[in-house]
Amino acid sequence: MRKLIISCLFLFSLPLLGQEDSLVEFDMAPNYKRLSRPFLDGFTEQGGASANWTSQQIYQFFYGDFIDDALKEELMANASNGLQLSSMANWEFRFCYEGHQKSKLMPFPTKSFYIFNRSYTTLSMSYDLTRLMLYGNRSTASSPQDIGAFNYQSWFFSGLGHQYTFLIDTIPLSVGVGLVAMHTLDRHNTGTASLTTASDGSQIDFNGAYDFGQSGATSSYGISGWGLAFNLATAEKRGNHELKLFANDLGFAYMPDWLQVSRDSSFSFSGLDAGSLFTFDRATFDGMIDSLTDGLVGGSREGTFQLLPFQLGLDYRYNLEEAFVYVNFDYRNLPNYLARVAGGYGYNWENLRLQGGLAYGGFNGFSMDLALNWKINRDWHLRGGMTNVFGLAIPTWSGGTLGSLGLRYIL
Amino acid sequence: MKKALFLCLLTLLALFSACRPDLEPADWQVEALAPVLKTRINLLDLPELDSTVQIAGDGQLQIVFNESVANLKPGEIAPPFNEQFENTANLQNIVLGQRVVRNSITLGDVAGQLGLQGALLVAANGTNQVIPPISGVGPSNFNIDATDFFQSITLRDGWMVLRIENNFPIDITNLQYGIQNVNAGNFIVQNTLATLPAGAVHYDSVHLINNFLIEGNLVASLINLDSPGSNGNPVLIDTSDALDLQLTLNQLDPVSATAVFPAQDLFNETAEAFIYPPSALLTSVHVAEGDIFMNAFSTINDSVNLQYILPGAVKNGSILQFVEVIPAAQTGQVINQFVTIPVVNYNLDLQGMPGSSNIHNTFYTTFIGSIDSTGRIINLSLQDSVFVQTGITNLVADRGYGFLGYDTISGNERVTLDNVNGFFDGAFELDDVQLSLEVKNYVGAPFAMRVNGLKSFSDNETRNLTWNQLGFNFSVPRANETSPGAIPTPGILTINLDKNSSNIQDLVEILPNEVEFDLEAFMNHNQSSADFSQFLNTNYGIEADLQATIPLQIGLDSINFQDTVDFTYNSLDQDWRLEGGDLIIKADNSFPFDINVEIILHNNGGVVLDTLKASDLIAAAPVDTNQRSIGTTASTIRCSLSGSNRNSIQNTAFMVFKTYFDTPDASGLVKIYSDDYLDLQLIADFRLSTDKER
Repeated sequence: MRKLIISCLFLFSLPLLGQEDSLVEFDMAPNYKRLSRPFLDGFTEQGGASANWTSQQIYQFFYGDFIDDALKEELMANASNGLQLSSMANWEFRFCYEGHQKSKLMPFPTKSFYIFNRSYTTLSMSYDLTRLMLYGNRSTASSPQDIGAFNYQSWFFSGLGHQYTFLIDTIPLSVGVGLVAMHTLDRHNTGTASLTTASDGSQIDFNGAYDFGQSGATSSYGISGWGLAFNLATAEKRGNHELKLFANDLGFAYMPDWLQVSRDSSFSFSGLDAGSLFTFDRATFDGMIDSLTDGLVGGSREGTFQLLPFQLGLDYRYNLEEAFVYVNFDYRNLPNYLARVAGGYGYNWENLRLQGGLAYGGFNGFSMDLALNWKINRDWHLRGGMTNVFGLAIPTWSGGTLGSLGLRYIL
Repeated sequence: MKKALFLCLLTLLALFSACRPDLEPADWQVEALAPVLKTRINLLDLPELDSTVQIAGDGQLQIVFNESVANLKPGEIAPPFNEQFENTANLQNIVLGQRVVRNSITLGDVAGQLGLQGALLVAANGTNQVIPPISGVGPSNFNIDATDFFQSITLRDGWMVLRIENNFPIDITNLQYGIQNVNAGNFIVQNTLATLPAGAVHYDSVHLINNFLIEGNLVASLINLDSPGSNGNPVLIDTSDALDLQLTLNQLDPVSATAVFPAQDLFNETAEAFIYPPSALLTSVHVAEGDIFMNAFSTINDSVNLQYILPGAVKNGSILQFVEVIPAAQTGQVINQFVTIPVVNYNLDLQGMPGSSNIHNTFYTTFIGSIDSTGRIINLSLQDSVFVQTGITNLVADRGYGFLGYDTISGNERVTLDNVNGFFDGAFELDDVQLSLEVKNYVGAPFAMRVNGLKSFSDNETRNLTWNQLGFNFSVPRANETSPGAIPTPGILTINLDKNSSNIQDLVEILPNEVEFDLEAFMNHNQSSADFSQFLNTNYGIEADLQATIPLQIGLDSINFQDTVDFTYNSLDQDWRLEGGDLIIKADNSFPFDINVEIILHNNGGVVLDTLKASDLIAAAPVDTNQRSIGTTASTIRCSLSGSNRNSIQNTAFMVFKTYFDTPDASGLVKIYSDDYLDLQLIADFRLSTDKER
């Protein structure tokens, strides 16, 4: 029965609960007498967000059947300053196999293995490029279209790590070292660039610069590179003040078969020049397409190091008798992600803690956060949270939500 | 426990790598306007016409056809030649020759039979002494060994001659002698000579007949010898002085012999052979292929050399001959030997044997059978023989020289004109068409050529030539051969037809896909005397080429140019995103024709699915007073790909592009120049779905 309840909670609370991914989401490691107990912990963080489109528009764009002209107009109206779309889907499982006797000084798991899987996709486009995407180039033929400041990144990687926590004097330091397997990474962006289609369609002119980078799979397991990722965390508690600092995924990946294309030029395309129609054949045509493709996105492949999309965070909490106030700072090394500052209020019951506050930054801009931490019983702990509650509560007003859910079983 | 959990973590990690969330946006439509392809049409680039369109001096295009309409090769110079000869040689033909055996009876030998007197003679050797009278010397025998030449000979006929020369310093009297076979013991010759003076020679001959046997081991018998001595005169006594005997066997006609036979020809025969060209008188031919053979049977107990010669067959300065050796047969056995020798690339003289005159189509062979003198004693009888078949099989000539005779070649050839067949369709109006028939004669004899008729065929129409030279005999000069076997330099006859002398323009304007000629050619027509400088090479005959020159000053009425291309829709639109739209064709036309474009869509089975028609014409360029186009005319036309057209194009397996050319009515007959072109740009004005349709 207990398992059933927990399972239901796990399934149905996903879109409702959330909290920023952090290794310090619990005040202290669970104790048993004076020893921290081993535990199994699962945590996921899912969602999408936009600073421009509303949740409803995001949903219609990704999950709708058809985008008609009316919806296009709505989408364009909200993208008057361009479009930013982001999504993430992260998983992490941790097995803490040893606690620590001085648990009050050790708010982190002492020794643990963990695996993780990260997926980040971010896209930013100019207004003109958004319009080209939704309408095509026919309606804007003869007008130069600004397609600069385009940025697209798509990360997908997994890792296996070990975390160890130790004390330096009375200051705990938790260090995790993870081996990263990079599955795919795409990084595309343009500088200042414009695209002009002749009014009769006879010519398309491009002027500007773009970079195109792409990993290449080098093994049959879809692994295109390897890397190292470090997790660092520390905490300090003085009286009613608590301060936690952490960094996740601080590291790099090396991809030996990285395709890099960089162009900074202007060119005109007036169709594949087939020469004489009578000497034209399919092989020639295919050759011209290959040549054109190579000219646009052809490049060399060579090994490259890429910095991982790390996360930096600072949590400050001032504890009152039953409640607390907090200020969080959070930064992720991803396009579209503004350094995020949040502040709010929380209340502790015997087995439940709720907190809520306002934030600015991240993928959304202004947002409202909610989070809970529930000790269901001695063995099961649940935590969850949500950034930008407005994106879920008022989907026609705010754009997107990131939800998180964690479940821990005390062994 | 830790290990199990750690393995669980690894398993989860593996699952992660395959579980990336994959967002599929909703579907929407975009309107894309993009250039796709640009191309140029210039008639000079037409692959079907690239060898036929030429540029005249002023740049005007003209179509020049050169189609082979006849290629008549002579079948053969003469039927394949076969001939066989037989030769037999036996003992009657074999010559034993003259056999000579010598022996001597010295003065010392005689002295040995004289007792004391003889001893005094021997003692006086080397001095001048008086030799007293001698009497009663003998009897004594002396062996005559002829086995080096023969062991025995049984003669039907022959002669034995005995030569006796007295080299004693004294006369001989009452000389009684004989020659006899050792084994048989019979005397071959026996005689008494009353006197034989010193230094004198005596001959004694015997006719040997009736199977007379002579053995190799003979005995010369000295029955008696007397001498008057030196008649009181001193003479030089030399005991080596001898009575010399020489036995000669001559003119032998043996029944059998066991002897050493002298080298000799068993037979040496020359025979003539004839080839039979229909009416030619050939002086020589070049042999392309054939064989000579020899099939020999021998019972002769000695090797026999056989030599076969074609003295008139020469290759690289050497005459054709071969020598074959038949090994010796064992007694009572027959040896058989068969040999074939290929005859390729020989020049064979056909003027008969040396010294002959006015002889043609004739060559000769020489066959020689011989034995060498091996020094070995062999046995031959009248039954022994050597039988030889020789001959020539399937001798084929590829070149003949001499007077080629008279012949008639008829040709009724119907030829497909690949260059225009299936390429144009419509109505032409041409001006100044010139057509010529070029006849190339690679035969070294003159011909008379006659055109009896010419027809042109299109799919729907047949037209006959009207010409005032039909049935006229044109002379085609003979060819010349610069070196034997080289490609002859042809004699050429060119027969011209134009609009003034014929209706040839009518025959061309129906865009014929076939033409049919009715031709006759007569070799040595009206040649009364034989010309022996003529030649025929079977690899080269008479060729006739049809040449047409058509200056492109034409009027077109829906002339249709078409080309077919394979098409696979999903290779261009793999996700079937096309919803509709137009294919825009932007054209710059410098041709003086209006052009209408039509694309016919066919499915895999060749069934027409739909026809994409352009919204308008590609307008013709204007022309000047010389009927030449000036500048270009820009046009933009559209082909709709909406509705059923789109479905049809998605199921298309191949497309037929049909282009209709029309001369504007006001232009009249217009000229086409090499710098005329049609630039086309294909622009896609498509409505595309962002989602995959299928």
